[in-house]
Amino acid sequence: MHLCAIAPPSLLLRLAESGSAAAREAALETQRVSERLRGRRIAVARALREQGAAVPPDRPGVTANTVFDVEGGEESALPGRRLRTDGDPPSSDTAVNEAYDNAATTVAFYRDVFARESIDGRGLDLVSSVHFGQRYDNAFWTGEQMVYGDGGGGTFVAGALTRSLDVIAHELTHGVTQYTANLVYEAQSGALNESFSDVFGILVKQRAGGIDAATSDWLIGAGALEPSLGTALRSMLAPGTAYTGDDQPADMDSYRDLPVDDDPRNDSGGVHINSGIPNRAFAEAARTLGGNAWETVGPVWYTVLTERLRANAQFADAAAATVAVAAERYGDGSREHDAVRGGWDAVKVVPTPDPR
Amino acid sequence: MRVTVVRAGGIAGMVVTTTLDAADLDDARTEALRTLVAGCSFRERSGPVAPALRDGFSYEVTVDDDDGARQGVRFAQGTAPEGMDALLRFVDDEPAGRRETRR
Repeated sequence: MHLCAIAPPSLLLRLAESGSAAAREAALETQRVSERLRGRRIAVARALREQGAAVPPDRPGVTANTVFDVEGGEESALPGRRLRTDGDPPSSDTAVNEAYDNAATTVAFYRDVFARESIDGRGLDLVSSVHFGQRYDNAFWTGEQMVYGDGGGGTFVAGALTRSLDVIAHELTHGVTQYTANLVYEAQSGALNESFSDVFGILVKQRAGGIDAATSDWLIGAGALEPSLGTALRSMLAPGTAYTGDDQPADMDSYRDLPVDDDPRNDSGGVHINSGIPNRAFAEAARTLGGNAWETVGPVWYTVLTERLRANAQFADAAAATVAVAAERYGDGSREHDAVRGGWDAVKVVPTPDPR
Repeated sequence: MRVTVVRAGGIAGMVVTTTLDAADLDDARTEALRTLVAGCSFRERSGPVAPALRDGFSYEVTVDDDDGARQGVRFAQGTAPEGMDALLRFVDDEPAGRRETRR
């Protein structure tokens, strides 16, 4: 079913632009098939939701959660040595237990709040590897599993990556996005991809801590950076203020129009930079409504991610879709509808007409 | 000889630039650096990249030689050209390296 995950639209489009005539046609056909399959997946998801059976019946509640130790190795050594799976007692390794517990908390969030079974909605087993590389200052999603470094390389406090629930939920959500909207990881669609990971990252953290929208600091990775750099990776409420040098824009007036090229400084067209704009739209809407964000605007963003966006969706498309879903869910002119519209208004994104 | 490594992306999305100048190293370390550079390919590796990778690092490595010659390469995490991983580790671990973090 997930052809698009194996050959993402961006790659296919590049092939379509640059390849021979035959390669171009093959790439376009693959793209068309992917779009058709995705359309069917959306239809199935909608039918399941409307019939009150969001959990596919084949593998309910049997997602295995397993943590491996890659022992300082890199890509070729993944996943590494199996150290803990369900039913095992806690490991003597703190990073292993944190990766296990935080992945379990994230999957429980998706199950309890959205009736979603794991990353793919069908109970996909969770695979995490810890101790990647030497003092590796990062966490990432490979397309198949989550991977965590130890930090301590000058950017992250040692141990912070597995300790931060929102970091783990951010990475796991990259998997959810891959199996749903599969947003192309460049420019605005890539910034939306990043933003959805931050949105569900903070929601998982808020729910686990019983933190409402008014009380939340809306920081991603609070306390994870070396203190000399700053307090967090990103501020969803005040983009551009999380650390010294943070240049996330807070609205479209300061949007960074960066090229999509192989220069690492351009961040695939600013995927980790312009994500500040949709992040703030969400946080503003949640703060306007008050209460628990995972119960107010969270479900709107979830429906949009899983059912309403094309892979190359732009900010204006996400704005239109969230406004439309808020109206469908809570009523036209409801305070939720107004709050979502107000969120996008605050960041100066004008919704396109509903793309459906 | 000067080696400049730009590492960007990752979950933090920061740009970390590390510069290592052979002038700041003793003879043995300079020799080690030259050997590592000589063992590096500066051609992008062909073959599969990881299209579904999210929050991976991307790199730009530039070597400026004393005679003005310059070679450089850009690559994504997991697709480092031959010899490059060892050079990155050396630059990362070398206390004489100057490091700057910004977006």
